[in-house]
Amino acid sequence: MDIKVIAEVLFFLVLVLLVAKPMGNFMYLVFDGKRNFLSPVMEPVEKFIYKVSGVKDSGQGWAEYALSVIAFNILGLIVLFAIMMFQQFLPLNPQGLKAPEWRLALNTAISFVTNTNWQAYTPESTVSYFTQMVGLAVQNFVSAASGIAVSLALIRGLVRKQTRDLGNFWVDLTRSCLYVLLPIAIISALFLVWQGVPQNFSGYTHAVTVEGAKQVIGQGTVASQEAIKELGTNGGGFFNANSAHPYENPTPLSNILEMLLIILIPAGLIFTFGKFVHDIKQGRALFYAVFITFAIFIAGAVYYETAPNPAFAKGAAVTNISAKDIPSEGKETRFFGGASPIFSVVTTVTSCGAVNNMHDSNMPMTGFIELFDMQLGELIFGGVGSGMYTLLLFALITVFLAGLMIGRTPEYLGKKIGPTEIKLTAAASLFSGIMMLVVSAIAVYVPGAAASTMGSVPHGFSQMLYAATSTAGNNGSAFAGFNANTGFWNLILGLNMFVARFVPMILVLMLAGRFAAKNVTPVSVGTLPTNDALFAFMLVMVILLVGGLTFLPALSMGPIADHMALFSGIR
Amino acid sequence: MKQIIKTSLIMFVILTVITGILYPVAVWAAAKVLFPFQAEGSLVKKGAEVTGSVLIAQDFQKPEYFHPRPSAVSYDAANSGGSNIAASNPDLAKAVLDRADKEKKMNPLNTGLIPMDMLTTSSSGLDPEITIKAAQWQTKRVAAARGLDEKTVLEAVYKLKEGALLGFIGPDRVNVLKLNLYLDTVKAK
Amino acid sequence: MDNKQENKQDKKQMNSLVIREALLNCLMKLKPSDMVKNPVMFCVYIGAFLTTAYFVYTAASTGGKTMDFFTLHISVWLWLTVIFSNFAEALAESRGKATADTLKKMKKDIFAKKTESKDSTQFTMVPASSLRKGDLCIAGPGDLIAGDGEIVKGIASVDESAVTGESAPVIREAGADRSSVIGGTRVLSDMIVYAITSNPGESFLDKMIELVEGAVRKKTPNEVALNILLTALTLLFLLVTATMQPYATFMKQSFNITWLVALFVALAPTTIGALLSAIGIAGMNRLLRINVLAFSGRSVEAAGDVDTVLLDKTGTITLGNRQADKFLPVKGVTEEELALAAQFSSLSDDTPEGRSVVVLAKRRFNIRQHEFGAADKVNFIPFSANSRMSGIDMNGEKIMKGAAESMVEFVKTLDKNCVIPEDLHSLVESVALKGSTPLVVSRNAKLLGVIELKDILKGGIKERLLQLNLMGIKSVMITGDNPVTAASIAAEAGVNDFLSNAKPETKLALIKKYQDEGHMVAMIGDGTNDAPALAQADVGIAMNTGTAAAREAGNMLDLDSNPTKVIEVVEVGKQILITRGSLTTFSIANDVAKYFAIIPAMLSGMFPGMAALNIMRLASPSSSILSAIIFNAIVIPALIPLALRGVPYKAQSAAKLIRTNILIYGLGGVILPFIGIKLIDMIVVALGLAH
Repeated sequence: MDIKVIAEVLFFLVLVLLVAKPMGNFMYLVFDGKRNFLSPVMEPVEKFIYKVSGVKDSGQGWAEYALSVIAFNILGLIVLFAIMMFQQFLPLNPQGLKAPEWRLALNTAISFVTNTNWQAYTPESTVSYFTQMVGLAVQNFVSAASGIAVSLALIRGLVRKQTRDLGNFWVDLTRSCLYVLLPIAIISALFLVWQGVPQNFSGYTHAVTVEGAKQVIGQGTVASQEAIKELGTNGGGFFNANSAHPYENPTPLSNILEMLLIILIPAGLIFTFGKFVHDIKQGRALFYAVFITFAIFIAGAVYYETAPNPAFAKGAAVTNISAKDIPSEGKETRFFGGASPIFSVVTTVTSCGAVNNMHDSNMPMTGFIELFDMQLGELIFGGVGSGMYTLLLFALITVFLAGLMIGRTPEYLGKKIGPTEIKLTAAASLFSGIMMLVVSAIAVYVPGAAASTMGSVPHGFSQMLYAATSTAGNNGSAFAGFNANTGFWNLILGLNMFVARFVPMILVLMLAGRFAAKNVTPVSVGTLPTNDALFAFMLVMVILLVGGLTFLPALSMGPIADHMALFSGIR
Repeated sequence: MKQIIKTSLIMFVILTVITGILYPVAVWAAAKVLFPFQAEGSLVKKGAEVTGSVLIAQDFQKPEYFHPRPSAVSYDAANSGGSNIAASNPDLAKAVLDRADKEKKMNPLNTGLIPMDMLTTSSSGLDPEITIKAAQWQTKRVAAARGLDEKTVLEAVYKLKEGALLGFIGPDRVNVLKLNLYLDTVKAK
Repeated sequence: MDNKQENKQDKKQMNSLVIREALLNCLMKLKPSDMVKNPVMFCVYIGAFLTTAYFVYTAASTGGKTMDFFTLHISVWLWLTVIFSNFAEALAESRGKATADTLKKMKKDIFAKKTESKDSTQFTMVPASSLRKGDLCIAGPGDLIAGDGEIVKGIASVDESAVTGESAPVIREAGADRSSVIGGTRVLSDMIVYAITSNPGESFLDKMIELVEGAVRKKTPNEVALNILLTALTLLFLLVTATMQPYATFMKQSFNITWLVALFVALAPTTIGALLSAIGIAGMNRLLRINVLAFSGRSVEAAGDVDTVLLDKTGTITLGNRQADKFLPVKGVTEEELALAAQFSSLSDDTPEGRSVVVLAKRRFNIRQHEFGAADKVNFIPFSANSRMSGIDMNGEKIMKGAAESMVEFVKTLDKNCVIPEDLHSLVESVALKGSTPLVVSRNAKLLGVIELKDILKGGIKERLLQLNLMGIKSVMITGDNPVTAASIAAEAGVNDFLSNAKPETKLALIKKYQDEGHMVAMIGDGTNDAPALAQADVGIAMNTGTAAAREAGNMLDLDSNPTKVIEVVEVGKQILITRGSLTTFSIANDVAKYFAIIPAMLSGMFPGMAALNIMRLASPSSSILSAIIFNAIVIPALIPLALRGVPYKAQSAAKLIRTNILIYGLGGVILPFIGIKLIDMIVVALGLAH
């Protein structure tokens, strides 16, 4: 690794450190209903929305909160599906695109509602500008806001005592959109336009190239879409090549902004949590646990992506190719160096799924890191909101194991963890992992499954595993050599995304309800400290151990075997 | 339950209007004023006709032009994407060797090592840039084809070079379309 | 001494008996209906069946020509794993059973002298089992008490050693706080009439037998919670293993069923799964050993959670009575002069306070108890509630002591013109402010000074309270004293808080207040008026000497009636949880090494490069897998002593405790199996069990 790349990695990590805390503090003001610098602008809008929709800022119990989340998201799913199926009758369709096959449309609708943005389709040739704007982009906002809302409910459950009140979903949803997502998206979108990202309603450009060939260039409201796609950790690209497309991510600078946007809310929310529990050290311990793991993953990915691919060494002997260069297949020139692997880790630890290079062409161990990032449960920062609540679930498991070792009924933030709580916690935190295993196993028996894959046997297996993992992790990135656009895959992966999103959400809300009803045990020296370095360490160990034990066999048969074969030359 | 569904509906409509219509339109309007060139796709025009976008690679075959990196989608800007071929896939090594042969045939004057980025497809298939090394590799051919001396062409490359951001982020690189258009003006001299 | 020797021998005998019984029982527990209660071990059990069947099937299908000895070895070790687990539980249970058996013997063949009225001496002999609530019985010297009861008439000394293990007889009498008797205990002297308070099968003895036998042992909430987590992990690992086969199918390969079962068993948290119930039972037994009976496992666990302990001042923090601590003479009087007078005034005073004055005088100035000659005209003036003073009239000289105001008035009656010393008032005030009681001493009309009567802390109580503080437990002193007195004693003893002017209602209210704030409260009590508070507290320890009402209300019973026992109870409660947590951590940490043994072994056939992951350099795939399974099995019996004894616990902060335990059981749990598996692998190869 040369010094420039190390500098690049450190530079990005420092940026994350710089933005996370202020963002967290700001979100605390917003979600605790305190006045902030946006209040003068947004408060009238907020009041107007409540008035029109008949929302009163009264607390909801867990069941009502959950019903609101589900109702709102199901409605979103139906509307989005309908928009796609009728897009040829709707405006802003300069290419005259027809309705996609219904299973693809359903898969896509689920994908955007669940904040996954798995793209089984090629956007340029499948969805109209109207579908992108009014359908997909809206879900980019509200699916992110739904995630934030559920995490807030869990935090409130942990903080409040002897109450049913988890806050109000409609209020959380509205505030997420108005105060957090919208302002940042507007500014970032303009920044991206400055860097070269288009924002227009023109039809595709028909160019005649310098050498006289014809070239059709896709256009559209790319910048506005791109900003919210990263900020909401959605990841669904305006174009097929996603953030590798020069129109989505034209410069190294735009790339840094996009990576920061992805991590901004997930990282900030951890500090928001610290503020909510009136002990910023609680937030800090969780943050550093996550941050250090994140840094290690980045170091690993950067290491493998900046060392040469041994496969070319043999070729170099017969012809004069520069085999010592970094692996550049599936990478953009402007993202050579650290930019590609850092982005890959950023997008897989958060449940974003945007890509600025083709993961399928990465070195096997980078693929391992990408897979493992997602398999840990999307909690190393994780998705917007979902990362926060999943991280808290693992904190609960850690407290449960460690708490016993100090001789008390385990408690987190003064809330005792009894049988029902541990049941809900275990189910919610292990659910997506179980889906990853089950779906990838079922896939084996699907006729033609092997034909959907590409490359060596272990790599083919990795592709399938990646598809199951990415959808259950609500990530959306892919080993894209895998052909997922078949009727079967669209249905099973759609189902996977749906249950892996909403089952844990409901369980988390139930858990929040149970915690809220409990009293808080006061802190004493007999209390397990959950705000220090030791706890952060234990949390990391529990996360790695549970994830490792669950997925190492599968990973051994995929990327690890692939790596061993590639580097040893033994097949 | 009824109340919840009603609230859902109203909320959904309002948020759709705000985030799905007002938001992109606002960005569009502001961009049109602030950055009209970028907003329209950074298009290069010759008269009324669009030659291409500086951000989108186009196919160059002729020896007098610098060539962009190989594209897995044949530079189809309405269908971007990479090869997605695995690093461990023997087909990749084979493809690289095939391209190396072609490059050697294309640049018979050059005996140096062929930079890897000229032998691998980009992620989008529309990568508008090549590394300085890749440009240097092609300089002899371009100069010969254009009847210019190598130094002049190299100067053009350095003139249009994009350095690393802050000195350490990204490689030294050059935009192929910009370079070729610039060379065309040099030739005209 | 004698007792200890006897105990030791008893123990030895018991141990061999216990182990023999446990060995038998652990095989009995192989019944599926028993096994299914422990989900983790049940899965291992099924695995053992599968591999055994697989072995038999391969042998049978080839007519005995190919014997899959690897599968046979694995099967044997899987069965052993299950049996070791059962043994741990059986061993823990049988210790209790041995105790229960002696108790049962006691219950047998008791006859009761049933009577019609408490004033009658007529009785009929009936079997104890026929007695019902409310029946009256008579017991004289040598008689066994037929059932739990309340003395309605008489007083007797009773030998309760059979139940409590305490050999000194205790006094039981009607109408007092010590009126209850336990069935199976023996009257040593005197005669009592008692009313039966429980029906057969519900008596204290029955309860105790049930408890120690573990027949009614319900899983505690925390044990249930841990079980859920372990079951969840087990199911997850089952899935991990099960999906390996489809994955292999994708590679057009397949795994041997024995390998898959082995992988699953190695991954499943078998160590803690095997020892979990033994830990709980052993914990109850440990409580029993410190002579505390817990009526529910829940209360034992709650004891570990307790963060507030209510302690009665008298008898727990201080000795029962106040004692003279200092002589404070007024100006112009020497201390010795005062001491001498004080001693005289107390000669007739038989109260503990009075005696303590004599003792103090002797200690300070070596003043011997005065021997009165025949010539002395001595008249003792006893204490009366009216005069509020006492003393002596010796040869016309009146030496008195008493409350300040009474004494001032008194000397004025002797000499109207007597001078009240200027500094007397301030002396009295200063003593009262400290929370002590001032007694003023006079010789005739002259006021000499003040005796300070003080509450004396019990030996060792300060250290005990300090320990509580270290554990993060708040101590609260309960006293009927006024706030000033209470505050001073509280400060001296080092309790964190106190409740003065305590009444049963205020005590109850205090507990509720603490509970509302989220605290877990423990208290110990004996009187009937303690009952509501005992019932309200999360851990209510009733003293065995206490009333039946108190014993009913508490969820634990201290057979020694030692008020500081609550601290030991808390420690036992914590120890159970710590042991569970530590072994769970150990169990899961073990998986890392087992992975490194099994995964390369399973996959190196499929992917030759995988052998690089065999970092322990184990001999062969089959030796690796077998070694991991053997390690997995023998770690269970190796940990049984720890599970039964409990992880050592000493009072310290949670932060320190977690650091130590993470290091030992977490890090140790990662490292130890690497060494263990490697060693076993070497042995396995040397013995030729695998190649």
